[in-house]
Amino acid sequence: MKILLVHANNPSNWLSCQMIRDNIVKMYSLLPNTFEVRHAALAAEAEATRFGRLRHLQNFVRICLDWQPDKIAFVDNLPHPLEALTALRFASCHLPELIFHVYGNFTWEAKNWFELGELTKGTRARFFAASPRQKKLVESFLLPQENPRAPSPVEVLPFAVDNQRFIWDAKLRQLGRTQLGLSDDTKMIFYSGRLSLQKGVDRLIQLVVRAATLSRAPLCLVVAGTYDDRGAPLLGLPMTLGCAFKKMDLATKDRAVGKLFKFVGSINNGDLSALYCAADAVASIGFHHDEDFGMAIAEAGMCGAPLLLSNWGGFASFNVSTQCQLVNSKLTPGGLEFSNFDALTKLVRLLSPIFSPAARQEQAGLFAAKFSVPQVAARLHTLLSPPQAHSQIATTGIEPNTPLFNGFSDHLFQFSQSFREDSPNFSALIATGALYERVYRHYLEAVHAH
Amino acid sequence: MLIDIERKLTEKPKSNAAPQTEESETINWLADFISLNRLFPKVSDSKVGELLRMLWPFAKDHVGPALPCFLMTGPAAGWLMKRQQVLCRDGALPLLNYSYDHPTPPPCKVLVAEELLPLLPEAWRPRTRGFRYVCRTVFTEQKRPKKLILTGLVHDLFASTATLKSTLESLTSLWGPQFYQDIEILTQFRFVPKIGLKTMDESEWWEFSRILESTLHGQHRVLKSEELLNLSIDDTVAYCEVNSRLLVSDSYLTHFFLSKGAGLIGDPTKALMQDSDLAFSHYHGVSVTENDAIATRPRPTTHELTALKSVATLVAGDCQAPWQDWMELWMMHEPIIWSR
Repeated sequence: MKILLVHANNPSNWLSCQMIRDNIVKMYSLLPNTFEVRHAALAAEAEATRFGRLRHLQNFVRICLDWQPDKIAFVDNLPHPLEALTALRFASCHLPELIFHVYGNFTWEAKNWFELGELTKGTRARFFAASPRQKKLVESFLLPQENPRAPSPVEVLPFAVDNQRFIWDAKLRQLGRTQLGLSDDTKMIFYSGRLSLQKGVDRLIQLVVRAATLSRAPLCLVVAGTYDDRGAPLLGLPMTLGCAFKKMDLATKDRAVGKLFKFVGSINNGDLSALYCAADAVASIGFHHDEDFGMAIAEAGMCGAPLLLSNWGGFASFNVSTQCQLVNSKLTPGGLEFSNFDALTKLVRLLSPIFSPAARQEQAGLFAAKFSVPQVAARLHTLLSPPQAHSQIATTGIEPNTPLFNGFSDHLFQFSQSFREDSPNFSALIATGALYERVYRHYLEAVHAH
Repeated sequence: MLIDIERKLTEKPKSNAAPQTEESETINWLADFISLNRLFPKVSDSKVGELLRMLWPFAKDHVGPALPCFLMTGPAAGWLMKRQQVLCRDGALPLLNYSYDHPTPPPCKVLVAEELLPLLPEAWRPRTRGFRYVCRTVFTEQKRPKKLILTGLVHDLFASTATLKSTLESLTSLWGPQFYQDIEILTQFRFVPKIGLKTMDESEWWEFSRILESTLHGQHRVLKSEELLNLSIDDTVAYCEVNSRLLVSDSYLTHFFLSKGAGLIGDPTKALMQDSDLAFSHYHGVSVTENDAIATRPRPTTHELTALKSVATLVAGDCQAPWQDWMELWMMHEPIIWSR
């Protein structure tokens, strides 16, 4: 089977997307020899000159025409596949089965996805969502299929984590804690990611301050990442440069708070795994629109770290053991609601047990079984294998091939028109009844834990 | 221990300071947006608004501990009175203009770019402090930058050919003649044909490009404006703005790159960030000059005024002229933008 992997010519500016893309490519390279994989690059949008973009498109079309792949898989978050597929259509090239690895920017790119739906109607297309909730969100925009028994074109394929870099290691823990100057009895809570409006780091600071008054052990909140002033662009609330820093600065100004707080800036992958091992809990209690998965959290889990997460989006996928605690969150008429009490209780619970290397090893093992590159590659193999191989299909009567894609509903177009950077959508902030609620309720729905 | 803690959690608070019990928080991004994002005075004068749009992205709003704002937007006294201090982003010309219109200083402390301090009237001095950028990334002979970003707006009032020449020469004199061959250079210059009444001939743009090409030996990559704001930045990146500081003394792009860990290069005021400095990000901030230092600073010297004099149509004659005379001279020559 011939698979053409399509990605950007340059790595994404988003660190997590870079890693996700690299790991997806690695997964395809792990497929058995019966899969022949080739690559085609598209010009990354921001950097491309018109000529450069056309040259890459031409090259992509030529490969498709000459090599005749059985499947084309789009593995990057950007550029959006719409332009490349339009070029293929113009070249009168038959569209083979299309595979889209869907990233968190699905809603942000709603207009492009809607147009892609129009362009690829009647083709065989599959969408690999990174979490069950993302699958539900994407499915909510699909037009119903003619055959109600046909399988959904949306499948769950988690983003894979590099199991060579992110592992539980007691020596790394020691190293990380020494670098931070933490005493043996200090409980370290770690946040890694962007420091932006929707990530709720200021809320986490307040939470740790309150937990410190309850904990017998000294606490330390370590924050790694970069400040991001994008705000909530989907709601038309872009922030000004410096806002994210100012917000954090205000949150940590108090001397007592400052003592609990350490900011370590942007950290490379090697040092990150040491910090995940060093942490007694890794926390992320944001409500980011793009939170379809949570790459940083998956990496932390691979290092065996206990997790405190908002019950939002892809975070629910990490509920693999009692070492992962999801904080009650809901959509109310007033907007998104987060239970501080629940968060405090669960954080204290996570920090209470005496540190146990065995528990860390067990947590790391559970994550590796779900999210490591080889494991996800095996799942990818199953998804890509001809469905005839699955014996149950004969008995269930499900369509033997990838179902024909019917396109997206007008609902997606409506969404793309309502949520834009240049048009503040204040009704979305009062969630009930609004389009926001209809779309993002999927990020709060109950899903089966792995 | 856990039971003990859970009991504590469900206890009623004994005081306001004690932890609260049952509570939920409604996420209110709009409140954050309003409280952090809308701190700027409204631009009521359409001419000024147009000028600021023309100076994009250098004049784009940014937020910091000392509220950065353009005095040329004419913030109301009431608005200024509510602020402890503001950081004046205006360049030399609008600042002179504002101080001429407002002989008494604003009712709050005003931070002004150090090199512009001598241009202010005496009455302003008690309320004015100087500022200069400080960053954690400081380049030395041992730690040379790997990448250089050069930006500016090509116009006599922002980045003239003379300003470009002197900026590039100062970099060569600081880092040696091989500097431009040893470093990856990214450039983004935008030609602005007209600011206010001051128009620029297109030949100026070609001359500007020629100087750039010949000095950098054609080894630089020209960035698109949207690409500029999407670059990966770390502490190996040096930022250099070709800016005469006639219109904007505190630019958005400087803060943008420094806040991502880049360092300044070719700026004689570069300094390592200290805890006492006003932090604008984890990586950079401004250092505030004490009043004593300002008092001892001499009035504009020939050298300092030479920068202003480079706008030949604007300022002519004796640069040694005292403040009032100089101001009159400037006014006489029909201020380009703020004609009234």
